[in-house]
Amino acid sequence: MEQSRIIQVTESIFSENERVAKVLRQKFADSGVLVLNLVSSPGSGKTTILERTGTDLKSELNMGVIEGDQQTSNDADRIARTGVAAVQINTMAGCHLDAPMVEKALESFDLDKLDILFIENVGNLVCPAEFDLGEDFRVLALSVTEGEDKPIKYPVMFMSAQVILVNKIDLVPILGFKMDECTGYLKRVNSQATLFELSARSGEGMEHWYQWLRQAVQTKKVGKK
Amino acid sequence: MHETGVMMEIVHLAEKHAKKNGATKVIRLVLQIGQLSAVIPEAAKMCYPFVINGTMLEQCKLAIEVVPALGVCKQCDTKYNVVEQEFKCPNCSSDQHEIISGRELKIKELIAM
Repeated sequence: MEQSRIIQVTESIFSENERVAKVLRQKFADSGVLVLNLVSSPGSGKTTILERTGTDLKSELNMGVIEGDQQTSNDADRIARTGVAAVQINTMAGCHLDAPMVEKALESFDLDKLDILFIENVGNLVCPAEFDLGEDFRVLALSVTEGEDKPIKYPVMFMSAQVILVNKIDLVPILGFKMDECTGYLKRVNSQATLFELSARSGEGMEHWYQWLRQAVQTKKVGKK
Repeated sequence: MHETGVMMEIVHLAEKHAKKNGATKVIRLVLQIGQLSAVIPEAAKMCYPFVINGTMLEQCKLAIEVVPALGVCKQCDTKYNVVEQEFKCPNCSSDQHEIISGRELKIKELIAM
């Protein structure tokens, strides 16, 4: 009779994604390109933030965008209309982007010519948290329409972000949104994140975000081999 | 469903390690799923029978250990469940904490023959 034995498995379930993410991180470092993984719920304004950022900064920075959605090229088309190069990934039934998908999309870019690569993830506050895309920063967009307590309801995603953009602040008076309450919840789950309050539609607060971007681009270039 | 993809990866990994150890079938699979991970144990159990069909795990019993989301308060060193306490220390109300467990999503061990 065959003996049964206990086998310990130390390999991570995400080991394949981690392997590819490591390769990507090295590629990005070699090219000195700043890479941002933009995450949020569907409808928080990620694409509008990128459209506005692209339009306002394209004269000073070379940007590229990888768009992730289940279906359509609508978001990549919107970005392309601002004059910024964009490539669309359609995940079909997939609920998040992973490193192998990003690796494939990179074939459309010359990384050495880019200052910033934005990766706009599938709108989803759960699954993208687990998938490293080789990015320098995870940027989470939170719309004021989502309610003050969103951070405490989706702690894992909020914990994983280094930059948080509180968007649609032009709607605060209409909603009666309590910003202090929201930033309180944000600090509870992530005391280290850099916070920006802005409106991609009205332009309010965008300049502080741009200042941060310019600084981050410089820092990444200084670290380039 | 999201859990199906993850469970397929887990079964794949289990088969790989069983084969590496010269086994032909897996009879028990023990997973650790943290309270802060992106997988719901109930959903994982639901899709499990479909995912193991035709694999080395066809007769494999699944056991899931749920790992609590524990944090340590940076102000007073109290250990507490951050999900239950909504990231606020029950002792001193500080929100400064360090997560020490709860993010796990892994195969703890498998029994193969």
